Amino acid sequence: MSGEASSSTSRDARLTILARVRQAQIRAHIPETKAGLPERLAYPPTTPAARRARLLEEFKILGVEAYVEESEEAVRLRVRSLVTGKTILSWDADRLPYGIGEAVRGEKIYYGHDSKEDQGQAEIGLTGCQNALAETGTLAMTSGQGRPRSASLMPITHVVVIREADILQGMGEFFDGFRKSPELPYLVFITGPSRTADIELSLTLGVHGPGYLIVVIGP
Amino acid sequence: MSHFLDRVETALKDEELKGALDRATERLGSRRSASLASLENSDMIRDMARRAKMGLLKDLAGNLETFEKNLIKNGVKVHWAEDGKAANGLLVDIAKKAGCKRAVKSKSMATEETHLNHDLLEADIDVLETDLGEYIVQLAGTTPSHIILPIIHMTKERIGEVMHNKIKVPYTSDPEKLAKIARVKLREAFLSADLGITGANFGVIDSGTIVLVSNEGNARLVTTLPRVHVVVMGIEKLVPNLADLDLMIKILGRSATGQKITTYTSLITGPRRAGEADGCEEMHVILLDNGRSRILGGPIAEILGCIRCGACLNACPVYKNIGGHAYGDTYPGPVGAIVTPGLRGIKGWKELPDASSLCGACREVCPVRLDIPRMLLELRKHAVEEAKIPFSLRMGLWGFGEVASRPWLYKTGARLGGIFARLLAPDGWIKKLPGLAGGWTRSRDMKAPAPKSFQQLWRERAAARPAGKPPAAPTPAREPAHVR
Repeated sequence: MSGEASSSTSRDARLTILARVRQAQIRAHIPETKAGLPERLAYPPTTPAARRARLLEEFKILGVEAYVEESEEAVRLRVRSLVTGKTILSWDADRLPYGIGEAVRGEKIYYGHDSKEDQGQAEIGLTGCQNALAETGTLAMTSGQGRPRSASLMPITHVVVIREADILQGMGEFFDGFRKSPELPYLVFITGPSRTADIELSLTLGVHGPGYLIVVIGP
Repeated sequence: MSHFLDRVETALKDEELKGALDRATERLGSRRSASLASLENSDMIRDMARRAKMGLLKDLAGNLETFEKNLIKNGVKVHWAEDGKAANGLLVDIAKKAGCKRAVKSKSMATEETHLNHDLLEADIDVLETDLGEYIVQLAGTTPSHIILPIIHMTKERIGEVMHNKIKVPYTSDPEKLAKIARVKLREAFLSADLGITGANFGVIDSGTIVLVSNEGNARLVTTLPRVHVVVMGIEKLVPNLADLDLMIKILGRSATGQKITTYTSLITGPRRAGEADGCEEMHVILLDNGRSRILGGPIAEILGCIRCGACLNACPVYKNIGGHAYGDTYPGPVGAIVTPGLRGIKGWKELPDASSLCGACREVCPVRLDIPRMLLELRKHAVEEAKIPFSLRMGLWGFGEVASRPWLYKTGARLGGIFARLLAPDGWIKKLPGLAGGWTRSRDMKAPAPKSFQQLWRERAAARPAGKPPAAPTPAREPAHVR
């Protein structure tokens, strides 16, 4: 059977490659690197207000539409006004913050368990977000039960709701949160709308992922 | 395949290509500088990234074993391939076993290196490139010419024609419309594909994670929609842990396109977990050697730290003039001039290390500070040692050695040579040299030597100077030639 033959070939290859690498690394000429560098990068402390300001600044550069709302009710109203009348691909209601799931009830909504073809019909993806990273204007999204990857990926518009308290300074701080965790979930860092400059360097948005990224920041 | 010099000549005659290369490399180069300047401690971050990359090469075998162990723990099936053929064979077997017929791919240099598409089609598995540039390259039946901008060699009009002819859409040269057409066409393909193929920008040893970056989002679709995901990655593409990954991400986007971070950075740690609605059900990683272990054992081991940002291409005066295709293989530019002879062997590729003026611009911009000029010199040395040196050159070098090691003979020779050369150059320029030396004057004139040699002038000054004072440096008898 070809499948079994292939894995035994692969097993032989494994031994050969590891032996070759072991041989090579004995005589390898690996240049010395600069001494006296810190073990890890340090992150100077920041305030929540400074992080929010920096995040909004980066969003502006990236072309992300951002709304800062002062109350939970204002967040729900904002999201309603953004999605009303559109077909939505959403995280499960109990996975969205601020009771947004309830607020958009009555709209045409698909969820992660619907067929990919149905999900492909949606015009707007509606999700929460684990953390935002201020210094790059990045949304750090994990996926899991009730939080499909497709909602932030397939529709042409992506609406994200985050809590101000979940804004971190950068990726390093975010990764620190996983240092003790036994296994990493599926993760994607999203920074602005999908883009390409492949054709004569002219910037085009939304070539595969969402072309419009809208972020609502709540209290 | 055509000869390197022929490819260079073709490229140099292509005015369109020259204009496109100028614009692209200029823009990317200046964005890179601006974006690194805005990164606090960027020099230190580059040093730390270099430390991480070089450090893991010291025990690459042990690191690979740990990486493999963690991948398996995460539910990934791990395979090993000694060369490109073996990697393609493994991939075809995985696809057949899982009953996959339609593959979508996101930009991967490793599978370009193994010519995977050819072998998949031969095995009756459809394969579609999904990065916009790579998709157009595939439609046009050509090859990419830049690491991150695969079609900088094509105008929008040519791209419009290719799409019109190959997928029967109305002709347009509007980049936005072309991208929209591609979105719709490729989305259909994503929804019907059962196999997703990617490379890996990084493999995180500690967590057993595959890291993919893309601006378009195609890498996300390729790893989210099809039920089987196969990663083909070189054995050197590792980073120790997430803190080191943070360093790499900080410098990769900035060096490649001047973005603080690429739009999408995906960290894939195994197939879909219980309760998840999407992601692949079956995940495989093929670890590819294909010459890398040989590189590790030689003088250019350092190149295995390359993170494929393409900054050295944009900085290289040679690349700016000849473009990517002239390099003849998957990896163009200064990095290609090292990686290609490294992976494929110096035989047949010995001109590549010569395609550099050793100006050092590549070393300046490299985010992990690879000493590219040093490695180019190592390869040149190696090429000379390997090559059969013609008898005439060997005799010539021997003769020069004999003369140069006897000062009286050298001096006499130099004086006679000077007299002879001035006879050939009544107007101060030698237009044609006889015999073997004619090669030098075939495409340029040579300045006749000055009537008095430096040594003669030096002696005259020394004799004329007042005692106790060192001689002033002699001024040349004539103005230096061709100062423009």
